[in-house]
Amino acid sequence: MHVIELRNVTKDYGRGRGVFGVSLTLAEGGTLGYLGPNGAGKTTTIRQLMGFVRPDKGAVRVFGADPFGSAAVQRKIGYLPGETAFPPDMTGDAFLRFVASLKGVKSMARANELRERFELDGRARLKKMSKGTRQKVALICAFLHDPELYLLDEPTSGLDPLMQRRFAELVEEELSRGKTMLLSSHQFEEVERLCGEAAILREGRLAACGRMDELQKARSRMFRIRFRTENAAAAFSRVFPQAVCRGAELSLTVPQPDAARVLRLAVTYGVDDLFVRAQTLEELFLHYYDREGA
Amino acid sequence: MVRPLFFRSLRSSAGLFGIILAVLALYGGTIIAMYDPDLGESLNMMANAMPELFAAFGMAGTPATLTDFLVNYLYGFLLIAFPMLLSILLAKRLVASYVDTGSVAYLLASPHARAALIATQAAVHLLACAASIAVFFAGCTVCCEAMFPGELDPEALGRVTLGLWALHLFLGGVVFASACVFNDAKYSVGVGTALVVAFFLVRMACQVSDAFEWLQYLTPMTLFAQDELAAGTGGVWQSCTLAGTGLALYLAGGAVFCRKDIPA
Repeated sequence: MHVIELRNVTKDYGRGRGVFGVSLTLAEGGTLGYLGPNGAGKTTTIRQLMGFVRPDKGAVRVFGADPFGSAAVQRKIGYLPGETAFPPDMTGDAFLRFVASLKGVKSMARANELRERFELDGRARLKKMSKGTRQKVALICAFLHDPELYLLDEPTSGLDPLMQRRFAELVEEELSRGKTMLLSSHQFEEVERLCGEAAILREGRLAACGRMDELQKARSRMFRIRFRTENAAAAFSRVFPQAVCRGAELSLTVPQPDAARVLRLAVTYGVDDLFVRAQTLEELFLHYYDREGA
Repeated sequence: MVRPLFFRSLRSSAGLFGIILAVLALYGGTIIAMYDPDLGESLNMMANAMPELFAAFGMAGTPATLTDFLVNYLYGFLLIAFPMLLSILLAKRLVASYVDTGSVAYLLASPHARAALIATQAAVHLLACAASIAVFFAGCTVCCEAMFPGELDPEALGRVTLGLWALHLFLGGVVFASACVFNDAKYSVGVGTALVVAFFLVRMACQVSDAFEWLQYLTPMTLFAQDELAAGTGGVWQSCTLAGTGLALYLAGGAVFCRKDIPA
């Protein structure tokens, strides 16, 4: 059974905002990195999964049920909102106790453990806290009732690198316990490291979606080749017109299946030095982002 | 009903409740102390000198008894305005602010149905308004007995107080429904407040002079017939209408809250 299922979901907020015809699924134990620029519709998607917002068209299913206003579904979800908004008049600790009691969590042991892990001093009033500290409070709220599914909207925003690492460790622990997770992010490295699957959203539409290893294949290979002579470089660049030539040095980006051909051909022209790397997820993402202008 | 939310809402309403009650006690006590069967004459003279001003604040006629005096001087303005203010501020705090800032996410993400969450907030809202009136009535009765033994007709004042409660059920329903229907504080607080303040101002205007009497048909507050209730000659069906409409507004607001999109 799919834990998350979106079938052709459209939510139109007008002026191109919202999500349009998004379909995706996430199986139990899976991790989906949900990537996209600001305003692409990541938060709108998550709000529909939470049952805060109803789609105009299509169907949303979480644990096989319509999440809209469903208390049973909420019980199984740990939610981190994209905006950290709290009641202003409470301290961090009082708020954590309040959220725990709302969720019917009797023991504060887990919350205390998380508080130590994130080095949170919860004695201050929430409105006096820095962005990062408030984010820690929000994270603890999402994790304290040991849910089965996590929906985390930009979980590391505002966290310093050390806390980002602590968060990554926490996520890995939860995943090893078989939890399912959807994580929206701008941090490509984070998604690359933590998520088995990724979906890229652009202007409310899915631009790419798949297993991380498949996306890995979809990434272009970027060559930088220094030939023995400038003539060799010039001759080689006639075969690959997209190559950029500077003297004997040449840079070239090709789809992954063409990589072997580039290598074979380069050798015949006489290679002095060679440097290859895979396009990062970020570059892949920017590539989808850029198409907007194209 | 969601117990943790109920107690948290009670706690966060307590401050406002205390302030409003303190103001009511202060003004109420002063007004009661001003009552003097002999001083009634000079007050009448004042009222005759500037009848419009007195009338605007619901102080019309010549109060003969302590009960009439209180109904005129307290139930015409003070006891409408301050519980109404409490109603507006609590609707903002209990519903509108949560939705406007997005902190409602933590309520919605808890394993409770929306209906239970909003019913809890409605219960606190209703309770606070009813309690402010009940506590005032109790204090007022005790105060009157202490200062002017035997002068007060508690039954008559009780009838007017029930009528007042009905009026506040209606006003509370308006501001609570508004807080439930809209997401943006500009509207969720603004629409309800604008409506009840307009009702109130129209009521004040139509008390000023007979020339404005036609205005009474523009404000539901006319259904609070304090003089008839005090005299025991009527005003009951009007009060029932107010209370019934008010409760219906609470229910309608809650129903919208359960069905609407909430960006959180």
